[in-house]
Amino acid sequence: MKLYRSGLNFQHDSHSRESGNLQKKQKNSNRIGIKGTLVICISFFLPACFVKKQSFYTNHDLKETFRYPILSEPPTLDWSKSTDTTSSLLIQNIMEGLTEYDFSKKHVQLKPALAARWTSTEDKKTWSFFLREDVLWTDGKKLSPNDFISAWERLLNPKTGSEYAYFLFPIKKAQEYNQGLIKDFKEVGVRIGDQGELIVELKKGLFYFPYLLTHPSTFPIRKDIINQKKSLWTSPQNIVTLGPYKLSRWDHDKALILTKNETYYGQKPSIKKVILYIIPDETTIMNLYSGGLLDIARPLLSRDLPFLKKRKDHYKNSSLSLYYYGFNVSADSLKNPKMRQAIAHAISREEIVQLLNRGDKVLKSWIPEGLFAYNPNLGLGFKPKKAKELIKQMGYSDTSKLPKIQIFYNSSTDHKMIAENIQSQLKKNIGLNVELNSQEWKTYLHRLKTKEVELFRLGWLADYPDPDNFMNLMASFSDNNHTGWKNKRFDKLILQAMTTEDGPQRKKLYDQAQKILLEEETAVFPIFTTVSHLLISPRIKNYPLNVMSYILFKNIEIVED
Amino acid sequence: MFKRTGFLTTAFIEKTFGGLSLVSFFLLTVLSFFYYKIPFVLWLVFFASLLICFFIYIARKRLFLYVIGRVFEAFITLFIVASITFVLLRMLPGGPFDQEKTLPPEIQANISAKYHLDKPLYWQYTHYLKGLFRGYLGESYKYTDRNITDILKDSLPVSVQLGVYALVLAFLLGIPLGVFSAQKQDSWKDRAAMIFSISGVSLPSFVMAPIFILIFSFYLGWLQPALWEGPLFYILPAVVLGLRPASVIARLTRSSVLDVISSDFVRTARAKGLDEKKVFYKHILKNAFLPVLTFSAPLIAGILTGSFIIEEIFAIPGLGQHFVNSVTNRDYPLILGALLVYSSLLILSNMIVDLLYAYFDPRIKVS
Repeated sequence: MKLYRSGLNFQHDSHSRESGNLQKKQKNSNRIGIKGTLVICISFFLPACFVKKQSFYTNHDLKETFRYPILSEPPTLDWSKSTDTTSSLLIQNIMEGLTEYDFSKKHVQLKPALAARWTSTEDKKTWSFFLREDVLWTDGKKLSPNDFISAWERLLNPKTGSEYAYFLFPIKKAQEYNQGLIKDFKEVGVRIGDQGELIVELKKGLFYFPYLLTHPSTFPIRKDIINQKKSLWTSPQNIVTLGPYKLSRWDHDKALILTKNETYYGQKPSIKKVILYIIPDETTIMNLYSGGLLDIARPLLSRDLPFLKKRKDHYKNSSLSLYYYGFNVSADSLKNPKMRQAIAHAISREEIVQLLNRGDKVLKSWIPEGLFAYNPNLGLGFKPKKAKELIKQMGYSDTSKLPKIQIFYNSSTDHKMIAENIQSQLKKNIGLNVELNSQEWKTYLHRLKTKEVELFRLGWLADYPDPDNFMNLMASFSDNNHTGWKNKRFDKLILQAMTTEDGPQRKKLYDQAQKILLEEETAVFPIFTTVSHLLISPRIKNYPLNVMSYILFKNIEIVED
Repeated sequence: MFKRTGFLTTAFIEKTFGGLSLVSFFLLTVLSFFYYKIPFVLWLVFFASLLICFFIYIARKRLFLYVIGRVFEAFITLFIVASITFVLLRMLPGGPFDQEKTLPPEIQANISAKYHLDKPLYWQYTHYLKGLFRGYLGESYKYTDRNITDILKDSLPVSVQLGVYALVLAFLLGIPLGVFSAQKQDSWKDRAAMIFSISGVSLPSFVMAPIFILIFSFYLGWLQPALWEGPLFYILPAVVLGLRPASVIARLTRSSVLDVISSDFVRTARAKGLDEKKVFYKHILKNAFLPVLTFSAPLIAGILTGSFIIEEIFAIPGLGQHFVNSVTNRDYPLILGALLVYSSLLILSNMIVDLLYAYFDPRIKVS
């Protein structure tokens, strides 16, 4: 208040200079009086209508609230359009698909969700899904097979511009519909059978097709709601879902609140409320966890791991993932398979993993551990002598004549550490000179696409828990094969394995294919499987840890001591 | 009668409304800080009194033409900013929908068609400008289904809120500290204040923030380490954001006060026997404020539009993050939108500061 008064005096004075000294005293009393009354009026009347804002995020009953950090604002909750992990996490908790992962067995299996059961013809070409009868949407309407048809029509409709439309490309005529070649969705291989079952006809037999249906892009959708609310349909007041939780609040860039869905058909979740805070910085997540404002700290920074690992609330979670270096086989320096083999033999994976110190698992083969057909004996190991021999065979008696090669990676501390380590290993073990080249992410992707790379780093995280998801990557028809490597024998083996049921026959096909990819032709150099680390508050029980990073909140429980 | 006319002079009305806007600003800041709902009336009073005050000031100084000219210039500047940014963005390698998983070509074609990215560049440019004239900033590529206007509407108020706290702190701390230093020139008090301010200038916020979090939320347990939910959450980011400008202002004030103290008109004022307090507040401080004013224009625009680092460290849902993330995402409309907000604020604050020069120093003629 003192400050304000001095401000008044100051203004008064500057005015009085203009109007002369005579009026000064008279005005002085007058003005202070009026302004004073004004201030008094404001300070007496206004506070009467002041109400304290309610906090939605810090005011809650801890016994029924689970607080979880997400790194970014979900770009969209429209499951026909979402592509990122944050959106998927949310959608998987408010929605359900025909099938759901079952992690209780050694390899990931499926269990029924919205589909009570499913059958297929012998050749795995036609699938029938029988829906549960007791599923209700949050607005009280019953789930109908038509909700699937409209969802899949929307996903494939070129006007939607969906990135994950290719998830349904195995379906007959689906790709043509997406390309706009056919206009009538009735021609696409999806229809409703006599008993109300959903019948799907595929282009060719695909025995892992039900796995694709765990993906959010294939979830049913309420066309009527979307038509009515247009782009606002994903807002909390409009969205209609059927999962164990429902979206009740979404403050952009700040937090989302999920609450228990009372009309959920399955076993209702034990926690009433889940708050997902949007926190972009790992250190901040750690701070909030330490301050008791979060129940999970994830992801952890690798520099913090050495001391966090010793804590009781520390947990590890390995994923079906792959960190690899690819060879651009069209680059002059890497054209010769012997050169690529020499490089592969000259790099010790153990050294890299130790350097990173995150507990990642060394991976020699292309199919990671945890998947069917994983074979640790495949792939080229660390044999510097063999590498030198290969170099000699290529006709380089003097290693100084070796061509210089370039490693490309996207800027990040960990990628840089790995690239530098590989650089020094190659120099030490075979005398190869390596230049490092780092780019910002989008620029890097652009370079990969235009093949302006030599040796490059990339990773892969399983979309569905089948070796096909990894092997397919290096096929000649794959859009994600940046090596430029093409092999007809490899393609044939992959296509054959796609329709073969899990068993020794299928494993043999994949073993042969991996041999070609890694040992004979060496188009890629797998390095490790990532292990992620997290802290779980002791008051949380049954937090889901699994290889697919498939986080369902419905089974989590809170124990208060 | 005589009193009445004196009472109703334009200058007096201007000052009354100026005072009113100051009071309502003070109330707004305090209420929002203590996490109260802000009544709409208060906003109305604040903006109305500010506008009235502004117009009377312009009328009194006969600056209408000048302001109209400046506004016209501002639109041209914004147009140029939008055009250059538009072109520069398209020159960046990599597009908004490039991802680790390469999309099949037909899907890429569908997406490009949806966002008109398949059209020639000049078409996209004129399309964007047409939208801009209607006040439509486009749709985000990253946050599908969200308008740029919606994103800005959600995030700008948060950044402004934090920015206002920081600015209030910067001025309330910086100016008195500078004055104090100048008054005690060369004493140990002056040195101490200047050491404080030089460390404020030289310590980057990403160092200051973790240290403050460590001390105030972990050792002492007084404040929250992050999030944006009330007074206990507001203090740390506001202090970290405000300390640096406070230090700059303190140094500026000190040097300009020392400058003015030795000038002729101050000697004259003292010689005619004016009260030392009056000399100080009216003659010295008012004139010494000019360099601070110059510094304020870019400062206000910069701070109100948010700081990426502070928002990241404290998980504040403001605009600052969008400046950086939209570029990494190649979210063209969002980059353009954020940039236009920043440029408009910068132009506006520069204009206001230019107008205020004439208030603080009658010798300056704005034209």
